[in-house]
Amino acid sequence: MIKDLSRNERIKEASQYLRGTLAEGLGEVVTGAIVEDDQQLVKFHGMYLQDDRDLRAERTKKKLEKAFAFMIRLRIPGGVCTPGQWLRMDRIARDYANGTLRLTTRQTFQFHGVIKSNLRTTMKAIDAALLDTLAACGDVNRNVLASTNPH
Amino acid sequence: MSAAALLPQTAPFGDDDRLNLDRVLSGASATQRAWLAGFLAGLDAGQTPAVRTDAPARATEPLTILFASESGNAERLAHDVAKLARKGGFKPKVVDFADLDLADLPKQSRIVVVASTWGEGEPPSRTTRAYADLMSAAAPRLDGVTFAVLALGDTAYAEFCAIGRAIDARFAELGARRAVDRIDCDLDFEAPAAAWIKSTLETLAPAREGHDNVVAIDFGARPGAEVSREPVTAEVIEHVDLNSSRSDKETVHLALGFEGAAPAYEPGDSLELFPENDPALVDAILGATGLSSSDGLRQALSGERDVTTLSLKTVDTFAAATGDPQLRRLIDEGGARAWIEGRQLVDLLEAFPATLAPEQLQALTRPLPPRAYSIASSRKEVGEEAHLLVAAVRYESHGRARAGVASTHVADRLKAGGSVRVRVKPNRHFRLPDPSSDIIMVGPGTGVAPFRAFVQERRAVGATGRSWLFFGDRNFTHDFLYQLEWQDALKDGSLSRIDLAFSRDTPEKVYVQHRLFERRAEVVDWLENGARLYVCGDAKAMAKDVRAALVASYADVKALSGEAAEAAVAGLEREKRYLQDVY
Repeated sequence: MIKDLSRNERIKEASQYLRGTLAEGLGEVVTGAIVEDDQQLVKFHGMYLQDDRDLRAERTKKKLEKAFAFMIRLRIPGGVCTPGQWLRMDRIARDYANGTLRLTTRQTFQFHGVIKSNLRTTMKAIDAALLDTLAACGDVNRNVLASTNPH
Repeated sequence: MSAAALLPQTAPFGDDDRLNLDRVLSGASATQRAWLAGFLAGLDAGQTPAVRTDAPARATEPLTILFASESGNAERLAHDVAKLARKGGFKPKVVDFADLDLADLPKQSRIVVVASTWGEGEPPSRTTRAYADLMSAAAPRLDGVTFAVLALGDTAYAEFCAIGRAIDARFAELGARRAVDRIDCDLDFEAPAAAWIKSTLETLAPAREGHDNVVAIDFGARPGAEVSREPVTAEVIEHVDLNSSRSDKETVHLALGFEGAAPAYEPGDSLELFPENDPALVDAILGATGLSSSDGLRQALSGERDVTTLSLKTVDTFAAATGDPQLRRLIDEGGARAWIEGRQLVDLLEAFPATLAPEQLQALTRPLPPRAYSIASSRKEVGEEAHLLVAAVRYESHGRARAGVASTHVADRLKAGGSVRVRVKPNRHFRLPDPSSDIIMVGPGTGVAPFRAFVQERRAVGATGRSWLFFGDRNFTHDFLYQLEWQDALKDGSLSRIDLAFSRDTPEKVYVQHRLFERRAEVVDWLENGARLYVCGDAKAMAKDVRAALVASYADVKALSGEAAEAAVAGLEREKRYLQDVY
């Protein structure tokens, strides 16, 4: 039965409920990336791994790996957040992301440019603001997108 | 074949023997003769009473040469003193101030001190404790000791030769007799130091009857360990700024190639690079002094003279040459020291304009010294190349953009295919241990250079000991020098562990000393098991903070008092298991 599933389903099946090797991966400080299977898993935790395409050409010559960073997307039911929560997201964007806080058409916030060593701190800070990122990316459902003007 | 007779008729040999010796010696090369001289002398030294000539007792007058060295110059001079002393009939002993047992000092009859001053009037880092002991009330009396001090320093710093001066005064205070006045040498110390050493040894020389022509043989010289002081020309094979284009830092990885073999260097050694001044600055200086840029003068100012440093001495010389009343007043009112702060020669020349003769301008400058950079490669891995890691120094002061002479010569004016003159500067206090020993390396920024050499070397020799690197810089993404190489080293096992501290990735700044303390249990465990800890990089803050973090680690892990933890780290230093190469 299981061999008929797609590769992603098999990764999920073997992941110990989406844990994978994330804990070990966060400890690998020499790289800003995580292993490929974990890259699939983090999507269910609300993030994915990117690299800065503008820098790709120069990186190897400079003896640097790709400029990896995470996009982290919140999941806000109904798109409701308090002014206090917004301000705290703004702080996180300045301290741990690339200084921008983006609002999406699916009524949520997302951060860009969070490097691996700041991932834990960022997730804790979001949690402390009583918001979360659970299932914000990958094969998950999201907020409904609809016109604000029914006419 | 009638070779010219070498041995005089008066040589104490029979005619046959003399002719036979002549036959061998006249055909011998210089190397063969030197070997024979050494061999014979060694033979006699090994079987003392066998040949007892009636020459005066030689090489028996003890002379202690005490050096306090940071970059190696004082140490090299100390060995120069020893070499010359041996020829002069002394039995010299070279002692590192860092290893000095103060109780031994009063037992020395003659002491020549070669002491360098570091930073803002500080003793070389390895000698901090011995120096503090000498200055403390516990220092023994030195009555009966004769001494002389050679001080090394840099007139660019206010506390010029402070350590040499302090040791000179302290020895006298403790009752020692000053045989010769102290000499204070600037960066161009070679000629004045050589002259002082010669005359000092003559003054200190034991009384001898008549002359003798015994050939002096230097047993102290270690053949093979001698590195040529002659600069060689290197070609730039690779010139890459390792920081990303988004970084505000610029750290150049420079791979140098040589015609034929690379100069013999060991991991830990430095390479002195002979820079040239910024042509725009040379133009500004020529313009300010009304001098036309005749080729000879321009060339001298570009490659031979230090045209940036501004010292009080320079200000005085300039004031005397121009008689500028405003400058005179500044000096007389004691404002010159504050005025030169952050300023360079060009500021003086522009602030008090005067037309100078070429010689007057030359007199305001000192010889342009080479700049030493830790070598970032092992010949066992890179063959006949030497790699350097050079951080471009740029800042602004008094409304003018400033640039480090050597670092921006490398960053801006040296290109792949170009050439530069270099010379090896050995660093015997910063060597790898036995390949089976563990090493901990703390090297943020360009301080990581020698550790790249260490890891390459240990990979090439198949070292079995573990190795642990603490590296740090500003941003993980943009400033992780040699990131891909460290990843490979971790994979192939030539590096066992890495811990990183990037100060600008988080709101609170994290530095290598913080990481060291976080890992204190394992760090202390490694050290208890015989590991060596190396620190390379910034001397002003980093090296001190790392040492303090290690003391705190010992205190915490082993539940020691602050004093006992300090003693534990001092113990590591004494055992040469805590080693620094800082600048």
